[in-house]
Amino acid sequence: MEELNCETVFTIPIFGGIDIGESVVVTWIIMAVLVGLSILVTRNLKVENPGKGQVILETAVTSLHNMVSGMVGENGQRYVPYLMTVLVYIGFANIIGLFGFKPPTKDLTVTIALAVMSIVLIEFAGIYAKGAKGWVKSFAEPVAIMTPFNILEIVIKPLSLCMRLFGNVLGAFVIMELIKQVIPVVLPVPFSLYFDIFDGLIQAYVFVFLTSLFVKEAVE
Amino acid sequence: MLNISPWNLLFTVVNLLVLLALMKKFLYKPVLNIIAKRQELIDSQFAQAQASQEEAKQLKEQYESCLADAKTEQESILKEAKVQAGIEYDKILADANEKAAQMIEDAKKVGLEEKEKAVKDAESEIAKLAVAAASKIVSQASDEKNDYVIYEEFLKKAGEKSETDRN
Repeated sequence: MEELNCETVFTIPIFGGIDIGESVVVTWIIMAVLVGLSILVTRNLKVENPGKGQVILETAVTSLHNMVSGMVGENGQRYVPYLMTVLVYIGFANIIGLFGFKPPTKDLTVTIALAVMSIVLIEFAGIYAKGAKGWVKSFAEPVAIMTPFNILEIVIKPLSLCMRLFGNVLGAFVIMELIKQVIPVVLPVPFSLYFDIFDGLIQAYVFVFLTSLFVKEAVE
Repeated sequence: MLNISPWNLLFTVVNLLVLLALMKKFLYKPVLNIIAKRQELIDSQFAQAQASQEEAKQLKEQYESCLADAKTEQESILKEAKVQAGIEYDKILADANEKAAQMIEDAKKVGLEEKEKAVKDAESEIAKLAVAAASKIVSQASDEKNDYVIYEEFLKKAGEKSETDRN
């Protein structure tokens, strides 16, 4: 069962030793790959007569942008870059198991971090759009009796986001490991297609979709 | 797996924020910039095309109106010329008629005068002859034989005279 553990890769010897987890290191790798790819593909962009590569890149970026901006609504356009980044990051994190790394999203710490950032974004968007007063008042909507539930939602929303992502990725990871141990050839391929790629991308989409929905709700 | 380390949580948050900044700088901005620029270019080209079309239309209208003006002007000039020509024609014709009438009148007058003159000439000739004959009779002693000769001579002379007149 040592695959399930998130090991500490190294320790920085200050403040009594800061453990750097595997998930953080893999995140660094993902970051390096994403930024490197971005720099690579955005060289020599042309306004006129774009090449094939540029057309594909533009289509990808605009369709991602349109998808996210459609989910987050007109008033939440300023949060689109963050949501796009999270979508790309979680998508990459979920399918990085194909390359032999442990998905960072299998680490509860990472999904908690993502969920905390989401709820901070949601509440910040609410305060930004309605002002502090309007934001406080919005807890008593649509009727006053809903206030306790609305307050509870501050905890429930990120908790459900975090647990859904964590549970899905962990479950997929566990199943894949079991299949690999039973029959290590041929059989894992279709399962890997489903659990690593399809489920991974779906979970990334769901996470961003729900966050966008909450943001949209908060800014309206 | 389930142990939560606050440092790693913090690192993950920082990682994500850094990733956001980098992706913004290296991916979204360049690509969206290029797309916006292209859109701008297309818009400007469309605007330009529309403007030139508008201009062409205006020019065409201008030309058409010019052409129509020229046509009406031509027509009016033609009409005027025709009228002028008609007037001129009438005038010339009237002049010619008048002149012809004058000439005929003159010719008639001349003919009449000539005739009158001829008659007068003839009359004076006859009178002369008569006077000459009378004086001859008076000068010669008038006998019977002489009377006859004189009468004959007179008739002969008058006949000659009338013949030359006729010719």
